[in-house]
Amino acid sequence: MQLWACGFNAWGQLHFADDEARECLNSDGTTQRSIFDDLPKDLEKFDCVLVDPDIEVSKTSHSTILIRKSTQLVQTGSPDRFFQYLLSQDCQVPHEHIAQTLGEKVAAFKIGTLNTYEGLDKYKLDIPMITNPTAVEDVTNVIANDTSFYALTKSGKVLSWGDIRLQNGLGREVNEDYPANVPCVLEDLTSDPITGIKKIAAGGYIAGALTNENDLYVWGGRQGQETPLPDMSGIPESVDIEGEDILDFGVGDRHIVVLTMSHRLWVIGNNSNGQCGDGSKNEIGAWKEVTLPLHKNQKIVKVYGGYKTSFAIVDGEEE
Amino acid sequence: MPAQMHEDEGNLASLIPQSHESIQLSAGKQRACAESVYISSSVESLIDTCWSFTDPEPLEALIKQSSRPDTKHDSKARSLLSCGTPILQLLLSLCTIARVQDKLFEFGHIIHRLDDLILIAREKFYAFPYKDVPFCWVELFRFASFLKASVLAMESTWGKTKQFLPRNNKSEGSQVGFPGLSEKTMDRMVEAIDTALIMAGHPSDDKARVKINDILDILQNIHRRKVNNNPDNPSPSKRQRLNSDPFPRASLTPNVQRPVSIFSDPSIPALERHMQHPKNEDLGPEPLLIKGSLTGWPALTKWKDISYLRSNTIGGRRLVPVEIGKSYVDSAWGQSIITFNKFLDDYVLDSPEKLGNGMAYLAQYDLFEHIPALRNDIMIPDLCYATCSPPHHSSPFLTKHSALPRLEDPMLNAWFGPAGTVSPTHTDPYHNILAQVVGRKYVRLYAPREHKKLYPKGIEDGGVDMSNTSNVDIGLISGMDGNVDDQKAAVDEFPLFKEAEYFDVMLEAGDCLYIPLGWWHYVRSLSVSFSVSFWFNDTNDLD
Repeated sequence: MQLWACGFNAWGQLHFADDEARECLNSDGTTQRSIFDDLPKDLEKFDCVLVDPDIEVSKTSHSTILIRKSTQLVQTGSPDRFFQYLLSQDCQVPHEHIAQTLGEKVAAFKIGTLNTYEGLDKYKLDIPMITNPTAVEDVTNVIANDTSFYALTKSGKVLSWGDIRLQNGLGREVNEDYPANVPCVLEDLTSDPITGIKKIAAGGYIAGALTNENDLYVWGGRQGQETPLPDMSGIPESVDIEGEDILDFGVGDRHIVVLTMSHRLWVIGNNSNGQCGDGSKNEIGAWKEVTLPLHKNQKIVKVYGGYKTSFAIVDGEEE
Repeated sequence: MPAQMHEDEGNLASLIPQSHESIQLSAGKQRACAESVYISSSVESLIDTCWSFTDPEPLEALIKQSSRPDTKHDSKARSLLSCGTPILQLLLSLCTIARVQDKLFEFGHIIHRLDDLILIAREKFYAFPYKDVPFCWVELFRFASFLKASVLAMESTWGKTKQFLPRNNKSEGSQVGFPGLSEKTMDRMVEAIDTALIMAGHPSDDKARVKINDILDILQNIHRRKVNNNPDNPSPSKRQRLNSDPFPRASLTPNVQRPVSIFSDPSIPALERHMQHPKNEDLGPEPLLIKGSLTGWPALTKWKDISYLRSNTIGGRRLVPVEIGKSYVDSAWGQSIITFNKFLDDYVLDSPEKLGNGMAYLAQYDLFEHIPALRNDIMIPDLCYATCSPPHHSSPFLTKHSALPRLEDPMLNAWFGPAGTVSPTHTDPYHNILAQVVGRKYVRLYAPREHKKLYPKGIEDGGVDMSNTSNVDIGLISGMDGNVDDQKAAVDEFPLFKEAEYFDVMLEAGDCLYIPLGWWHYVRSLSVSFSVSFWFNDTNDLD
């Protein structure tokens, strides 16, 4: 398996494999990355950054990428306080069950409830913002973007909650019965023909959900900022790429990356740091296919979106 | 890494041209030589200040502190500490590399990374409610922006000198001829600094505040020098003036129906008597018109002169925040940060409608902290130091306004725009002296007790409290805007409005209007207009 990546690399977070070669030996025998040598450059094209029998992108932030390899967790770049906590002994919940917004709020799924905390310190002290927690069926994933949280349940429902100022990100109605700050189901993603959601992803002020029927729905945006797809709103809308079924997708800060059933990779949106991987830094206004220089037997099987980064997992033997 | 320069060695004395060497030269050559010495020495003192922004030491100290496990993170702590180790480390790398002259090829990359950090700070501004943005992100916005301006200056001057310049050896350094700053570099420096000053505010730390003002002053002087030496410069008589007369009077000009009383002998005791013993207890103190009290203000003549305004804004480069759209209650309303030149050329000097630009209004902004030179053209009216009456009992904001902290000094705001700008009917939480400097404005005022007849707005989607703003569009309902049908629709929608009692006034250049606390007011410019408001609320009764 190969991990291909592109985009924002200010902290060298896209450097995996040859990290050792980039370290230098200090006079006291310790190794430390030299701050002088060079500033890591953004990757404007997808590049193979890691090879391993099994790779999964677990979580990303501005400055770090957390990867699950066959045997261990690998972290690149420079972890912020939240990521330091995730990797510490203190963190008792699986990484899939805890998330932090850019507004620094933390939400976690623990013992059948979803709780939200003002910040990491309050989470550590177990002082949630709302004292009566929302009881929910089994949650398989909790994620966040800049101001909203999203949870995916075992039965394929999506819940959202967060900042009332930015309701479009919630993708559902907000009123007295369904307040912004309480996890509530996105009803639009429960009605016919949708039988359930199998993956959620979010970034910036946008989010998306992939249905069991292999349709992708996206919603969100904030006033004064262009959305990756034109006309995005607080109502989930399905995405059409040449009428094909969707195999996987990822959402970045302001870009979306999609893998269709025929293993073709498509990108749209902000490309300021090369996160669309097409070799340019030009904003991409309509779905654009990006091809990776792969061998005949290789194909892309999974994609992820990071802050201003994109990832593709490639499977199959090199010739 | 070059040894560190002592910050306080960056002396401004070197700004004085050293002309004694040039006695034997011809007058023209002498002037040109003095000029290049002047430019070179201005640039040198500029670089000295810029260099100080790249000091790695404070960052190293913060990183040490940040890596301690017991570090407390307080969102109000006044430092970059809570930005976290990754950001502090990146800033340190950028500062360190920027101090190496032969890393010039990396300067573009440094600037690119600073833009990335400024964007992260900007994204944080949106991710928190405005009042909750942790200080560290506000500080990051400023820090990265000032660093960017510094690296831009260093790249285009220090980085381009042929000689290798050891920053620890001042005596050699001063003999090096620095190239002048390009226009493009000046544009980009001012843009970086001003965007930060407008988005994040002026630095809270006095030292940084002084340094930034020094940089802007030096840029201002370099610009002025360049312009003065340009023979194509128009003579003062040909200078463009803000077209103050004649005004388009047409149907737009409202007639004053219930004129505000004239304050014939304005003084602090007289204003205090007026506030404490209102003619009509039910209304509270009424608005007052003060005629011709601004005679001592240089602004009265200077601000009509476009080239004066351009010249004091580094050739119109300084950025200002403007409101775009009909008024702040309009759906298409938005805020934008543009250069003073763009504002003047596209919105003030040309008819906005003609260009299809829409309306832009430099409204409610402390332009005088932003451009201190303009502060010297105005004076705070004595009346702002009167002991104020508390909010009137009929005001719906009685409790809210009573709880406001007392302002030690009046709050200054500039209001500058073309004919036709509108501030919809609203109340402010302070007493106000509105000084009309250029052009004329129509103001209509309603006492606090009239609030029900004005149909105040409520809490809007997204939680914005608009209860200080009326739903009634006075332009429509009084027939100044729109057609007869619009007017009728407005009258039907707000039936109580016609019973609301009001005062109104036409403010001419040189006039001041006293607007008592809690009075609703509608303000409309009838020509290109420049006003200054002074908010005050000092009440001694709490002592």
